[in-house]
Amino acid sequence: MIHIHSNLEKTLNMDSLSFFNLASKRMAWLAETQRVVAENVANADTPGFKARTTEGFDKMLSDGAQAHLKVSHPGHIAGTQTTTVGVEEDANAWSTSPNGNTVALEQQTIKANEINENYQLAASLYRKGHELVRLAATGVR
Amino acid sequence: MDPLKSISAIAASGMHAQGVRLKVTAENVANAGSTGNTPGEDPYRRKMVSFSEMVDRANGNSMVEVGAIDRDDSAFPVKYDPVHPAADERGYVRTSNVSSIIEMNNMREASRSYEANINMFDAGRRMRRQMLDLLK
Repeated sequence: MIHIHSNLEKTLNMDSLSFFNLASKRMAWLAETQRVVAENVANADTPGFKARTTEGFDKMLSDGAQAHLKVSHPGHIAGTQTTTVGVEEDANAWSTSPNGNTVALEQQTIKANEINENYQLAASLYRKGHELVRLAATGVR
Repeated sequence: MDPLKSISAIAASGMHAQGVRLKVTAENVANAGSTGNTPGEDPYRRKMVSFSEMVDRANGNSMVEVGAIDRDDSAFPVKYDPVHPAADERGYVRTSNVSSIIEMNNMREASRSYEANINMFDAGRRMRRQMLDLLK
C-alpha cells in the first residue's frame, strides 16, 4: 500500500505545485474575489465608496512561491502557507455617480457570474483529478 | 474567516441597510399628507437615511452601516385651504416636504439593491455547495 502511494506521488507529482494544490489555490482566489464583489454590492449606495477588485491570480501564485519558507532542518517550523490576496481599487469601474460611488451593479453581477462559473470549473477539475487518483489506485472507476 | 462565509455576512448587511431605507421610504410615503392640527404646528418632515462603509475589525470585511436618520430641512410647500384647521390667517396650510417622485425612485432603487444582495448571497451559497460536493 505504501509502495503504491509513493509511486503515485512520483507519477502525479504531488509537490507544492501539484494539480490539487493549484486547483485549491484557484478556488481560494475565486472565493476571495467573490467576497470583494459582495462588499461592492453591499456598498453600492454608500457615498464615496470606490469599487474594489483583487489582484490577479498570477500575482497570487508568484507571491505564494516566494513567501513559502524553506525547511532546512527537521526541527524548523514550516512557514504557514497563508494565501493572502491583495485587494485594490478597481481601475476599470464602469461609472462614477455624483456622490463619488463607483460601483456599477451590472458590472458586479457579470463578475459574480463569471467567478461562479470559474469556481465550478475548478471544483470539477479537482474532482476529475481525484477520480484519476482513485482509478490509478484501485483500477475501478 | 472563510471568504465564502463572509459573503453571507456582507450580503446580509447590505440587505439590512436597504431594508431600513425601504422602511424609511414607507414612512415618508405614509406621511406624505400629514399636516399639523393647529396653525403654528409643523407638518411631517421627510426622513432621510445615510449609508457608510463599516469595516468589521474581526475579519476585515467591509460591510455597510446605516447612519443616523436625518430630517430633510427643505421648506414646506403651502397650499390654499382656508377651512383646514392648520390654515394660517391668510388661509394657507403648510404641507409635508415629501416628494412622491423622489420616494418612488428611492423605493425602486432600494428593492433593486436588495435583490442584488440576495443574488450575491445565493452566489456564495452555490460556491460553498460546489466545494462541499467535493467531499461526496
